[in-house]
Amino acid sequence: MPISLAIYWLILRKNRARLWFLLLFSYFFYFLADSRYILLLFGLSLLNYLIAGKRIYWIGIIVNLLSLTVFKFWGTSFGPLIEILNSLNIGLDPSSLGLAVPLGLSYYVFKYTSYLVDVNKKRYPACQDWVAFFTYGAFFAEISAGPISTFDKISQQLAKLPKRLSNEFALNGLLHLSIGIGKKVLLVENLSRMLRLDIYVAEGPENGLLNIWLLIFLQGLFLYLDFSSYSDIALGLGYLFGLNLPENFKSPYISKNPSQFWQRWHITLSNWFRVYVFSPLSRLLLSRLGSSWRFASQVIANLVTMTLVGLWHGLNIQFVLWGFFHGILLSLHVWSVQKHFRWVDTWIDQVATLAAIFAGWVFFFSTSFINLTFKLRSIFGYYGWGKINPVLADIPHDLYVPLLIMLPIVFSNYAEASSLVQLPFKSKAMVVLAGIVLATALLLLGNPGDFTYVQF
Amino acid sequence: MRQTRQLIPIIFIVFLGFLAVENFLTEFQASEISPFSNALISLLQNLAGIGLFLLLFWHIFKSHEPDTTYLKNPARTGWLSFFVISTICILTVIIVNPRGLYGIRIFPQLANALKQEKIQYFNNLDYDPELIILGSSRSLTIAPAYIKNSLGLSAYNFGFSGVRPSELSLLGDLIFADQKKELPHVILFEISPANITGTEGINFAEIPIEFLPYMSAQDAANLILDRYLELFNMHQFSEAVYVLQYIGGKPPQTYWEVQPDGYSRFFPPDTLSQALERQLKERQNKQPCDDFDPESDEVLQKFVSLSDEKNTSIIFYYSPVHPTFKQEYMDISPKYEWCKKIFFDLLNGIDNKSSSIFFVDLSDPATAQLAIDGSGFYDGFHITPANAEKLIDYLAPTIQLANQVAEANLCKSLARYSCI
Repeated sequence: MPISLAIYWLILRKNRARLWFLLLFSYFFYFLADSRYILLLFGLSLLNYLIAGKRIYWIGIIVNLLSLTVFKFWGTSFGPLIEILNSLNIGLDPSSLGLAVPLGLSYYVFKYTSYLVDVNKKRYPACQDWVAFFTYGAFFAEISAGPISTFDKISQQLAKLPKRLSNEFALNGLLHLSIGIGKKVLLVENLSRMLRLDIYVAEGPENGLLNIWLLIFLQGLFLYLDFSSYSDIALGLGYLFGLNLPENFKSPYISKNPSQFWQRWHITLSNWFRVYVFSPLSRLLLSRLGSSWRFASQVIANLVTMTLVGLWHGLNIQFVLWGFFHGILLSLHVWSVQKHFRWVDTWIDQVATLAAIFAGWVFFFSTSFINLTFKLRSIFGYYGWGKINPVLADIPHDLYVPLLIMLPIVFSNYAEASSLVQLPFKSKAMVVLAGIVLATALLLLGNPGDFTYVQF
Repeated sequence: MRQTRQLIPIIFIVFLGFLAVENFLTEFQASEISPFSNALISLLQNLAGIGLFLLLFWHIFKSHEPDTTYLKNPARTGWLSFFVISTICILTVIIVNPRGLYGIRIFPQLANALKQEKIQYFNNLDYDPELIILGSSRSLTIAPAYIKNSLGLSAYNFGFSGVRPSELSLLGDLIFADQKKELPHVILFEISPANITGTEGINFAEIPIEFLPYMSAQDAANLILDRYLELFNMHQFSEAVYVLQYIGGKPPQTYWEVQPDGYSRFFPPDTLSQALERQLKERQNKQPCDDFDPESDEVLQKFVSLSDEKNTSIIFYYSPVHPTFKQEYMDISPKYEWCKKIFFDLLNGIDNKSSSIFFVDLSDPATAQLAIDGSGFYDGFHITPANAEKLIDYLAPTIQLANQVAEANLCKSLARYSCI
């Protein structure tokens, strides 16, 4: 990375050369990460580039979504279907077809689909520069796990890359990388060690309320810190290459209601679904059903959109239920607002929202339907309080500090690098500290676990 | 109000700092590199965590109004601090060179330097060894001089402390590739389930650079890349900090000293009972045979085919284990029972197939009438030179038979007149 930055800023002077460098570097990165599917990335980029703005643009949308379905869903999530087919003696093993999930497929497919729709709706013109378009799809900082940027925002920047790395971008890059890598190495890796202690070990009555709530609490923290640290790193790398990528998180666990949660959690994905699914669908329902059905239209649109959000993570009953559950939460919120309940947006709402969101992680992290059933029973106290798992007595002492630190970080307004970047003045001590944290975290990096959201 | 707002986080940070230092002092035992290194890493990790917390909550401690300490170019200062810290760590790793991965030798080094020394001694031998000892640190105390005196065979001890299966394979290439030397008749191979493991997660950095000519292009590239990445490794840095105390030729508390015939003297840090207690404690959360993979027997297969091609006999032996260690760590593990059976079946199968391959189980010290007090064992699995001599005495008939078989096979292949 330091070598590529040096080439980018010191050797390459022309915008075109830098654009080519970004493209080649991104494809090289993709080749190293997942060489099998580099042609898929190239092919979809070419198709979407050629077809945008034409009458047959919908073919591009179908191919995009079909490739997502075939590669992602077939390779990972048709487990139950495979089991049924196997039970009928129709042997079908997806692994024998060699279909694994291509790296970043769901991210670049969503980018290209939004591009086709936007161009068709004349929100911006079709791209005339294939190098910029291919770079948009394959940009190395975004490709693994987002953020899902829109073409108009990125293309404007790619067309006019800064001539030199500005102080502002260099500092934003440092702060984002420092906090992103710091969160991953110093907090997430330790949380992962804690989760490996197997707090909830068996599907049985020995797991009461205490163990299951502790488990989902830790899993919720893990997912957020892991994913937001990736986003911080992506943004930091973007800044260092002169690009301003969209924020993906905004301290979601302090949301006062489910609607606010989705404005703070995986922001670019929820924006995508809001613009390309929820809004058109609710408009369609309203026009068909009439304004007297406004609330029903909104509920249906919420349920459909959120179920699709769940499906985006994998065609798996747990993800579908998770999405549907969030659809219900959003609909309940809409209903509460309509009824002008006094507790809307108060601390009661905030606590209830937080509890519901954490409870929802049960769907997300369940390994099977049976596992989910046991966990849901535990969560509602079916097995009583239960006993705290004795493994908790053996928590390594070096985990105390990371576990204590992550609580105020997660449940405050200051969990993201963006909150630090927005501070109007930066003192010497602060930036020196950022440099020290980044250097130490990089030295401690070792072999970190994969980022969870890369698999989606 | 502002002061109260700052007071709570300050108390919290002081408390976190106390926890970090307390944890360091609890784990810290300067007598050995591993506990020191782990304790230092967790201290640095915790302090960096506190740093991250401070950074994210900076707004609490600083006013939002500019004052004289605010910077015109904060990016330069921040990146400078990053480069200074990184450079200090990298230079410390290079200069102290705790694992002997780089060229400079001011401080005593760990296992890797021993490996390099042994390769250099082997390449400079003024005799062609008839017997070569291979294996891990468990084989290091077998003295070639004793083998020469008692059996009349010239020998070289090519045991590597912390040997990896890939290194054993490369040692095979090195030993049999040297055309200037007469090939060995017998290989005395200390083997354990640890040699039957997959290559996943292998750290190529620890493989001596002298093996480069025998490596595939991919592995050679991995070796160079892993050595580069080790520069940015906190383990290297923390071990370097430990080794810093040995500047000026002062020997470390625990080390191996290699002699030109490969024999190594061990200077242990503690008595046998202390060592046993320490090893059992270190393995509280580990199971024996953790990395054992019966499918990954490439090393065995390689040496079996080398034995066939080069007319060399191989005696595989399972090194003695102290009874206390065996009872309290290995025998209580169901995983060990599983891997032991597969391992023994594998070795016995090879032994039965070929007349030039032998397998001897010496895991029970009573088999070779070894001493089990401090005169015979340094710890749970390292035997003293005295026990190593008894081990050779016990193996003597097998070694002689293996030597005769090798010579007979060599005669057959060369059809020499003098062999009759």
